[in-house]
Amino acid sequence: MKNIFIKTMIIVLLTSASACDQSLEEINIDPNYPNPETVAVEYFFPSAVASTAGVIGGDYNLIGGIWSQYWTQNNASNQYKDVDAFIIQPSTFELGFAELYAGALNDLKFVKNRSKADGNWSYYLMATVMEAYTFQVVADLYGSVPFDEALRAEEGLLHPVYREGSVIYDSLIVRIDNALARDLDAETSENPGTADFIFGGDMEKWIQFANTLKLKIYLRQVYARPNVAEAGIEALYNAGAEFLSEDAAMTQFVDQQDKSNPLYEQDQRRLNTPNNLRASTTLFAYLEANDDPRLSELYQPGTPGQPLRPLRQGDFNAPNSGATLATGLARALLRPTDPVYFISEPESYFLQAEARERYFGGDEAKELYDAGVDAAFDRFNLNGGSFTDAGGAYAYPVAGTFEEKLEQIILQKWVAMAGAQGLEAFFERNRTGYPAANIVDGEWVDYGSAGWEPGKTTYPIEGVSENERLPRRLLFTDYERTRNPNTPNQMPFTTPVWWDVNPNSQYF
Amino acid sequence: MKQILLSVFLGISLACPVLAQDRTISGSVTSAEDGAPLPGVNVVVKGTTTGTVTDANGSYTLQVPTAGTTLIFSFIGFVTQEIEIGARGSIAVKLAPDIKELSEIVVTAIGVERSEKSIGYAATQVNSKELTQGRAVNPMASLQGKVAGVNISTASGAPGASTKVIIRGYSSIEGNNNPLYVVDGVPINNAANSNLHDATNVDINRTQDYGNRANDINPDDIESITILKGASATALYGSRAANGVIMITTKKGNADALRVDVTSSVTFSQPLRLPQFQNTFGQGWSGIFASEENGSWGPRMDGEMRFWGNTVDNARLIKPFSPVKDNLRDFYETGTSYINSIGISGGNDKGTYYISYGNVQEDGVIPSGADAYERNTLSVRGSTRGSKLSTSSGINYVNKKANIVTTGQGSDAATVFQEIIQIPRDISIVDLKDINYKFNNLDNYFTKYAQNPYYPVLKNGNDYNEDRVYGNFSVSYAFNDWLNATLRVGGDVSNAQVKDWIAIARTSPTSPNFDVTQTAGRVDERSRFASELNGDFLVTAGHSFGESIKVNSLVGVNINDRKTNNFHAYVTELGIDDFYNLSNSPNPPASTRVASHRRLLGVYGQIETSYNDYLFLNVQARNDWSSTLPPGGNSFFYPGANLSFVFTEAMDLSGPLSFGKLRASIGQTGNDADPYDVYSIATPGSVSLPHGDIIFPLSGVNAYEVYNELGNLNLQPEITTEYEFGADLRFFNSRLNIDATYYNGLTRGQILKVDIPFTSGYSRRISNIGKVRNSGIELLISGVPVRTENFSWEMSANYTKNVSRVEELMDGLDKVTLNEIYDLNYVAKVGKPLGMIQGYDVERDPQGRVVVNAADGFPKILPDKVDFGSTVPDFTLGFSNTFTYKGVGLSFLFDYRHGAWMYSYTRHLNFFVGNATQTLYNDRQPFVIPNSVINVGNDDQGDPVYVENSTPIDMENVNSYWYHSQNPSRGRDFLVEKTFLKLREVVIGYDIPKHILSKTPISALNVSVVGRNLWLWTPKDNNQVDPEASNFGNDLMSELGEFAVGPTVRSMGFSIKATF
Repeated sequence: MKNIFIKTMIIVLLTSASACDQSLEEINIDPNYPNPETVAVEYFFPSAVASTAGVIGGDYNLIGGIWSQYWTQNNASNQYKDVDAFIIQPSTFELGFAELYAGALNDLKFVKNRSKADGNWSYYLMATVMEAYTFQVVADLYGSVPFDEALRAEEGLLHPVYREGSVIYDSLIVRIDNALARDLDAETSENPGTADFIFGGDMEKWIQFANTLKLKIYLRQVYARPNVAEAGIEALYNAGAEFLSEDAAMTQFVDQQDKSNPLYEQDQRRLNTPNNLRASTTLFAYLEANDDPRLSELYQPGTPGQPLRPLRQGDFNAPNSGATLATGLARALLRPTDPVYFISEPESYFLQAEARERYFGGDEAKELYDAGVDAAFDRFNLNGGSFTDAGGAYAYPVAGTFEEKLEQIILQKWVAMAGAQGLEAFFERNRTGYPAANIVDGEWVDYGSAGWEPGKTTYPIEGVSENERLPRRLLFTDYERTRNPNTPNQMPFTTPVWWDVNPNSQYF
Repeated sequence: MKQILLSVFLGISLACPVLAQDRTISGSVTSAEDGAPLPGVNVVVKGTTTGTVTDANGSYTLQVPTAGTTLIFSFIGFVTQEIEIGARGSIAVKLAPDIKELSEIVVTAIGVERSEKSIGYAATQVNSKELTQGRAVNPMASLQGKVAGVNISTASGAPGASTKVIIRGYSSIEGNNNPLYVVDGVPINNAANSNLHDATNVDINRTQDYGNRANDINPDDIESITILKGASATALYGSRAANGVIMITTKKGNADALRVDVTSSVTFSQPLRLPQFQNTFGQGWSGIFASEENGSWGPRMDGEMRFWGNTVDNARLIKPFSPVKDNLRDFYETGTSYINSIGISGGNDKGTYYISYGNVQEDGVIPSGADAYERNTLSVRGSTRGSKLSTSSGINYVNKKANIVTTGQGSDAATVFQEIIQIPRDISIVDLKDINYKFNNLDNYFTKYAQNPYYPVLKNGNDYNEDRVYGNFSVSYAFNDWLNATLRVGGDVSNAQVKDWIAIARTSPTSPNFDVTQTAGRVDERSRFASELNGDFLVTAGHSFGESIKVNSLVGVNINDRKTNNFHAYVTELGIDDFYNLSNSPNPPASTRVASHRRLLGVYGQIETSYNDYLFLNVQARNDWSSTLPPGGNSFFYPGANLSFVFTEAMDLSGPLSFGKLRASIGQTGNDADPYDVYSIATPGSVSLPHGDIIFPLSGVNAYEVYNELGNLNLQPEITTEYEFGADLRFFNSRLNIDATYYNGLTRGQILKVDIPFTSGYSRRISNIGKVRNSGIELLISGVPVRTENFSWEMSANYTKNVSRVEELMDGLDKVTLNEIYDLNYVAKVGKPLGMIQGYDVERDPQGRVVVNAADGFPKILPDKVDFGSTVPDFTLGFSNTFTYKGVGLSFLFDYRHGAWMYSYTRHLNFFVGNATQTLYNDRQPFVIPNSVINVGNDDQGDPVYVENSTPIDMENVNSYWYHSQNPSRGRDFLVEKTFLKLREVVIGYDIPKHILSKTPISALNVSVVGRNLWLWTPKDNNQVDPEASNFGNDLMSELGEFAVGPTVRSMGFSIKATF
């Protein structure tokens, strides 16, 4: 009897021991997800580009689109009232900031590190350019951001310090130049093919993107550090740099849930109502005054078949009846397949036109300006030729002063960026002061009052900012303030960032 | 029949040799006090394991081997008697009550049975009657308010909803705080199928609670539940028992005649607490009537006839502009619950068997069958007993079917509890029931800001179907009279299929509601598999050193292996209406599979020493090796010891004290990590948008990204060190009993996914971060104030105070954010109880006056959030009374909880839509914030200058004032105090006298009227929700509050219980 029991025990124990052939360590290897070290860079790069696109083309296009006065908050819903009225909290758009660091920049760093080790210089250049592009956006939006100490949690560096934007700018140029200097034709440089959402693996275009980005970085600081800007741009041209002649954009969106243009997805498909964004009178009146056919490409009727009618910026408390009956107000026309532009074709031409005017006596500036306007119309398959012809509504002021030319360039850049590159238009207004403000004798002029001009920035009807100043930056986020003790003290969102020193844009 | 059954059940255990038996002794056992027969008395042949127990009439029959000369009769609360058999064939015994000998048997860790007096820690045992008298569907709900130190809440009144059981407070910040459930010595799976998300990372979107698995046990199958609370009590169970152990002992059958128990009950339920609304102002916004609004910020209701809703076919509806006071209550129906069970048991001295079947059918209070629950349980158990070898085995099958109403925030579709709040006070809800009526359909429903609440109820839904088998087998071999070995193997396998669907909801381009979001429809299919295998091999040995010292020791090894495997697939943009299948979409289904596997190996040992049967010392230790910890650091050791001193037996005390025991214990337990927290991973590429996502593959390109959670190669287990002291004092022959415990536990190294700045490249890092102390007092006072021949009054009160404190967080952090809802943060903060709610506060001048914006009179907000309140209650109190007169019994139980705060979205949304009574402040007229100032610049020293504010909150902004988006400081209004008093259970029962039953086959019959949660009191300001309700799972996160959860219910019904 005792023997039977002991034999049984031995059999049972042997059976259970055979179940233990996996070591405890092996059991703890996640079968659901790969180890990043085993995944090729071609899998990381597209998700990084999509993360940057998701924010730049999503939340940042939204905040920029409202602050650049393409759109205003509907008067029969509430979603973006705070943005429109300048009630800015540290939590305002903090998700986007988080996504850019932990969704885009971290993966770009992974791609950079791996491709550098492998001599895979095509990926190294692409990742460097996307990284520089993304860092510039956050630096411009927050003034200072974590940079060299950022993205290093695996080294135990959990609380990166913030660096002033000018320091970041200098480093970005160095990084881009470093990547451009590599041998893109090396055997170890892989052709990314379809993993490159932007140019399908065409490295010539990535070089153009890098050069255009450098031009944008230099021009941004033209008032704060004119010598740096001038030296940099002259060096670019002296080296025979080529610039973008097509959009640097992510175009892979389809009309399907979870696969669409980010602003369409978040504002139209997934929000409880798609009517929050109404046409702002500011841009609407300008297009209308100039008979610009882009009006019906940027806006759609509030109810099918009705005429287009705008709402004054920030007039979200207007009665939902009569002339401001919400269902009669034009809505933003967003499409699920709209690309997200990093640097658009018209933008490239306008940047070059400005550089030509500033440093090369205006040589080719008009042609570049005209090409910018044409490209902007061409996005909608429209012909803008008559607008830039002499006497046309948008004709280049060949005989005008530099400032008049600059205003024309930036104003058309503002129109070209409508609906697609709102944040960039907002930065450019802060840099240049254009579109100019509807201010007479130091006071904001209301819509339709004496002195009001279409196409000029207006103070939102329900705006509540201190001294009626416009926003110039976002506040350091709550996430950062609660998690990172190195977050600097909060500055008012009306305080300009380091390059925002042009007296022309400081309206008061 | 009995023989057939018996042989069937013997068959499932090991066959065992039948030993030669010589003669049969029979007789009866009665109480020496009143002559009543005593059922359940143990009758054992001295020096052997041969024995039986008396039946319901106190009779026994026993076959005594030739060698047997003496019978031992023992029974709880009576003096044990030894009687020489001599030549007698029949022995009748009268047992005398023994108040001092309260040697109640308590099942301790690893299934070891011990007399209560030898235990040096607090252990509470609850018997079958207390578990079943209230006719709760799940066993833990029936313990509410009955056990000190244990906080039990049901998540909602929905059928099948989860139950939360927390013993001695929360110690793990992000890990599991649920106790380990052990059935007949084998751990079972208690995973909560709530939310279908990660249990700790609670998502407010479309929360769904299909219950936790401990709820699968048929309460009628349970013999007793023992709750082990402290570290010393639970240490032998290893790292899984760090939060206490609920040990469930099931009915096994007695060596008795065939016995059949039948129980049947029906109960009816209604919402216990619904929000109380204002009845002054009607539909509209900013004080103006607007027929498309989803709120009651309109004008004062004047009873005038008004058109309402949309114009359809050139017609409009008309109704008086007056409150429909009970519109919400009228929405609900009476819920029903039927519980039926049958148990058949019996056996003889060689073995026992028990078979039971239970059926539960519930339909909840939501109209239609959208909330329903059906559970079928089948249990088969048997045991054999030989002189050397004994076996026992049990197998249980459970089938659960549920349809539940989705709660929380609708992300892909509306959820009923969110929509139902957005109905103005002057609109009747039940009149919206016909969703095809042209004024009620999607196109023309009166508001475009919300959906007809009947639409999600009638059109969206789900089916949950789970099969589960769990059971155990154990075999023991007695080598001799002091050495015994046991092998116990248990398994628990479940597989659930969940299908959830959202109907297509589109509005016509020409309809008033055209601009609402068009819902494209969605189908989700999930398959959720879980298995758990557990094996223990243990050897016990006992030895006496002389008369006074006895030593029992135990060594064992344990292996525990758990797996889950979950498949999930869904499609959106459905084509065919009302057809829910993954094929019904132009898009391919998105699918994921998530599997997990973990294993724990342990060795443990225990030495118990007793001195003269009044001093007991128990020392134990266990070492675990866990697969979830990094190699090299996956071994952890925890010792424990406890001491019990029955001083009333050690010294001869006269006076009122009839029994007194002091106890002390100290112990450690550990909690390992979740699987896969050690190594970093890459996850499929996706971009989170504020609403929606971008998910790869995109345009034929697949992508991965570095996962934002950083693994930790140096992860260590959480270790709790706890000591406790207690006393068990009984006075006046147990007419008054006091049991008091003080405990103090420190848990260090909490494994936490700590939020780190996104700028570090990650969002979280898994770390050993914290130190949390829980200390407290558990007090149980019970007594029998009155006991006469026909009448008795028993009462019992338990008091629990748990003080929780986060002592330290590593990495120089002073707080860790656990969750965020709107502007509120749920944090673990150093120096505060675990679980603080924080939010924005107004700016104040040096005199404490509120600083407001000159422009609109709204308060200015401080940038940093302040503490709003703790979610940990100050204390809880249970108070029960039982009155018995002849066969009639009345018992009732009050449950009180004091203090703490929770977030309530129900309240939040009622503020937003102006239905909350609190929004009547100042009759909604413009007002200047009392004691407010404006800043008019700085003085010469640069200090701000404040002058009294005269800018009122404009009438059209009054509603914005009460809402957080324009006035973040009002986030505080969305908290409610958790204090409540509940009449938890009322039972009026009648035992039909035996003489009436004597001519029937029925040997005992009880009929009862039962009520649960009949009455709820809360502080005046909480007129919205039951503070127990939550849809944030059943762990720490649930203390944060609720997000559009359904109401809890009160129930009343009838129960009949018969024994044949």
